[in-house]
Order: sequence, then C-alpha cells, then structure tokens
Amino acid sequence: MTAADKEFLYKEYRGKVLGYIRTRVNNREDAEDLCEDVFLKAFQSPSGYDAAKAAPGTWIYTITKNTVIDYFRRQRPTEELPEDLADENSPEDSVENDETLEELANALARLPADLKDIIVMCYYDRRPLTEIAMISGISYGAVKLKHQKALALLRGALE
Amino acid sequence: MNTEKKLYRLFEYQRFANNPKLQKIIDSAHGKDVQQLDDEDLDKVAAAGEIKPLDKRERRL
Repeated sequence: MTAADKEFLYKEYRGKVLGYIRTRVNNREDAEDLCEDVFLKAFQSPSGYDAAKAAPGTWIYTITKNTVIDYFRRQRPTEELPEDLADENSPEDSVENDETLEELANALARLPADLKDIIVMCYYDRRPLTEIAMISGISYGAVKLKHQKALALLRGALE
Repeated sequence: MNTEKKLYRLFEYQRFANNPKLQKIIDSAHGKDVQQLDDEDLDKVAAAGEIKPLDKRERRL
C-alpha cells in the first residue's frame, strides 16, 4: 500500500470509523484511540489490502468492528458482549454484505417516495420521528403511520 | 433480528460500502431536505462555506 493509498483511506474513512465507534463506545478518548488503532492495524496489516477480496470500505469496516469487539473483551473479559455487538459478531446474524445492501436498495426503490425518505432520515441520518415530522412538514402522527407502513413493506423484502 | 435493527446496521455498513443504487436513494432523500429549506436557511448554508458533492464514490485502491 502506497503512502497515497494510506492518505486516501485515512481521509475517506476516518470520520466513518469514528462515527461507528462513537455509537458503541461512550468514552470519547477511548473512541479516538480505537479509531487510530483501526488505521494502524490497516496500515500494518501483514496481508495488507486485497482489492480482489473486498472494497476498501468493507475491509475497513471489518477491522473497525473487530477492534470494537476486542475493546469490549478487554474492558469486560468476564462479561458477555453488549447485545448489538454480540449480534454483529455472530456469523449467522451477519447482514452486512453487498448482496443485502442491494436487496435493501431494491426494496426501497419500490417504496413510494415519502416512505423512502422517512426510512433514510430515520435509519441513515438517525433522526427521531419528531424531527422528521418537522422536516417533512407533516404531523408526528402521520410520520409515525408512514414509518410503520414502510417498515411493514420492507420486512418481507429483508427477511 | 428485527427489521429496524437490520436497517440501522445496513445503513451504517452503507457508509463504508457505498452501494451506488442505495446511495442514489439516500442522496435523493437528502436533496429533498435541501429543497424544503427556506431562503434564510439557504443563506446560512451558503455562508457556511463550500458545498461538497454528495455522490462522491468510493475508489478502488
């Protein structure tokens, strides 16, 4: 991996890596340290990055996820992993792959525009429904109904 | 795993994986956000500085 590749990875993914870690690790300093660990691991990886196996984002995502799991194991060696991380660490519960993303994209494409926008604002932007109601200019009750309808339509497609 | 948890995880993964079809849907939803801002809000956005393109694609190393 060239210096330019490393610079690209760091610039492109640092914010995403830190964002992922911050949603799981409450301590800001630990989160910053873990973020730096992710890039150290990536840059010092003996096998390095293999473009034939995965896109760089997928590779960085895997390193990030494993770094956070290792952190919790070090912090609480005798305790179970937090529920979300335990799910993420379980191969049978793994949903993060390109095929499932494609399925989600196809399922969203079939939704009416207003439902699609609510799903993006809720699950990508992580906005509460009250805020989505303000942005969309409709009542909270209407957003809640649309949200439930969208979830019901997506449920079948994602199972 | 319930649908909501799956959606959170997939959208989070999308930040790294950049599926082009899904990104188009996300960008479209965000484009609508901007259109709904009033003039005063748009002035604030302009004053905040350079507007970066939303559809920057991941490159292969």
